[in-house]
Amino acid sequence: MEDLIIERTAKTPHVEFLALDKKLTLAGRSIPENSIQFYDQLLAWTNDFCASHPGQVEVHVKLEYFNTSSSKCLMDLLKRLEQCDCESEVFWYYEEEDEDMQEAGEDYAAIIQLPFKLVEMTSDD
Amino acid sequence: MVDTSIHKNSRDLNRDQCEGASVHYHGILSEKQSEVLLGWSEQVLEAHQWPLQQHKRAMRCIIELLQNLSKHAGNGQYACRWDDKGAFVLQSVNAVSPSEKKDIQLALNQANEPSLDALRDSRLDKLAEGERTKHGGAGLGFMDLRACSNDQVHAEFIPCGNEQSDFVLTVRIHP
Repeated sequence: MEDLIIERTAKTPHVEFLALDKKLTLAGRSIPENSIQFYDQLLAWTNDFCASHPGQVEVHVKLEYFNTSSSKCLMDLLKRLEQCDCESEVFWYYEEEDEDMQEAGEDYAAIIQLPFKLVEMTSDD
Repeated sequence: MVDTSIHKNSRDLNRDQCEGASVHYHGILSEKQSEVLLGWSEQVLEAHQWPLQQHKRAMRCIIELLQNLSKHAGNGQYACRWDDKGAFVLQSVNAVSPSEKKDIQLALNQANEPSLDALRDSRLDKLAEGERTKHGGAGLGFMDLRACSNDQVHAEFIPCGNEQSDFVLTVRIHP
């Protein structure tokens, strides 16, 4: 299975979904006008991945901003991993003063039945 | 013919020069324009060195207003500026039909229903259970604006003829 790598743009995050490493990373801004269109390719890849890659998976979410429609798409992606046979663990990163992003991580952790680790990033990270 | 005019005095300026800057736009608002306006608005916002959290809240409001305009209207007016009390003020205006007005009013009522303290739980419910709207969201936009502005969201409909109304949305973010 091929990796899914998408370079970041001003409105879409850097995507690095590595099949062999079993490591899925989203980083940057997720504020596309059409979030569904952008996340559809991620969901399609995740569906294939879940069907063929059992075992432990790390999901790293390092978002600076996400718009409200991305928040729903991100939920769909995490729910897909929750339903998958693989054992996913989510690492949710937030900047040290960014309580809103920390709360967002707590909110996803409350809904999604996956192990969630909230990771505070300092300015040195 | 749609009037497209841009008044901007923030481009390529340093922080001091941006002190009194503002962005005013009237015209077609598609993804392209929204991206440019987002960049300009960010420059205006950066004129004041707000703490990270307030800065990010203001950015989220900018993003929400611009994307509301480009997704729902396709044209209209958008402005951002600092007021004399140090608040960052955003405003969007777009014409809506009677049926659009009804939909917006419903979304506003739902967003305004919970108290500010209960807003996080309501957003959580919407996120977990809420159906998508035809525009791909889950009705979270107005709630997010309330949360980010500490409830400083003002919405009004001004009749503008031909049964249409101007939907005027103003958001104020205080330091």
